[in-house]
Amino acid sequence: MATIDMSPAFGPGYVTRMLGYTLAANSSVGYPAGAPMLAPGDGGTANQKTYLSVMKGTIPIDFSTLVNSTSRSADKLITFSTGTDFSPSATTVNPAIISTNYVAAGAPGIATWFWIYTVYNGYTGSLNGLTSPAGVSDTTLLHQLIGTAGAVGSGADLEIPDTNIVAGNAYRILNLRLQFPTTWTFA
Amino acid sequence: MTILFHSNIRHLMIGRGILAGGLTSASGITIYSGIQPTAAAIAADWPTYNSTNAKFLAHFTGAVWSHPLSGTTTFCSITTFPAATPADKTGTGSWCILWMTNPTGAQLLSSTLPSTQFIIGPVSNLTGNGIVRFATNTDFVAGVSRTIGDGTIGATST
Repeated sequence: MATIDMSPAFGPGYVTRMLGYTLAANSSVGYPAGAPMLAPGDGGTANQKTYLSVMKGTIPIDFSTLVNSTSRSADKLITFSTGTDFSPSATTVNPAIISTNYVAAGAPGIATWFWIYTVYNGYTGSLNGLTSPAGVSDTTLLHQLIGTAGAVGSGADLEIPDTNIVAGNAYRILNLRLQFPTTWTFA
Repeated sequence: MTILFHSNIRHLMIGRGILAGGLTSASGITIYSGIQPTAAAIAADWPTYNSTNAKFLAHFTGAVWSHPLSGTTTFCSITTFPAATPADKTGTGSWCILWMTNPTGAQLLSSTLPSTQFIIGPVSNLTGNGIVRFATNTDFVAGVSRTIGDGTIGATST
């Protein structure tokens, strides 16, 4: 077996560049390689944008049903977005620590999973040096990840004191850790 | 459940994670013989791995890597190749350091680590799984020039 291994000092920068919370798109390459996962999203068209939605219902087993940012809209309980909500996050370390400001829940329900997704954010053509492929819109997905949500002590990826989400109540994400590997073995 | 990432993460790792660390500018590649250590071991004890070490076989400068097809591939590769370079010592290359900078001979000789930013991986001939590969074999003879055949780092998903 062969191994690729990053130096200890390489890891934090590697995570920082991939999450890119304070960074613009990388204009030296195109999509999706150039767009960060936690895109800054200033609320306009100057950057891609990222959302974290706490969801109810059955957790997907793959991404085949998550075709754009409006997928499973009826199951979205709480949605956080970059540009306003992710300022408490620490993305220059590995594991990165995702934290948000308080946001009011938009719908009631039992939280079962969460979805982080990055979108093109409503422009076509060339922006920040990246030229959008034909046919994309502001709901077209660039990057996604999903994980489980559950009660504290459940072992879910995101643990919530009370999974019974109440519409209008304020919620925040606190210390969701994303660990990125820095060593790989392969045949 | 393990957090599930969309396969686009591969493009992100190659483009923003690895290449943007320094490989899109002229960078150095050092070839070693012997058993590949960990990157942490190199960072912690560079004097054991500097150019005075018998396993330090050759150093190539000026490699530039890129992400083909405007970042739509799931691999990056060397697109500007270093010049043919005489080997420093004799031996069989088995692993390499990809520096995010372009270290000089003096830096490689020093007891100070040339750069804290680097990736290590296997070296092989063109039929092997090296991230840096050489035609026919990875045999180096002191004073005899060799050229890099290709260099590729790919990302797969399950």
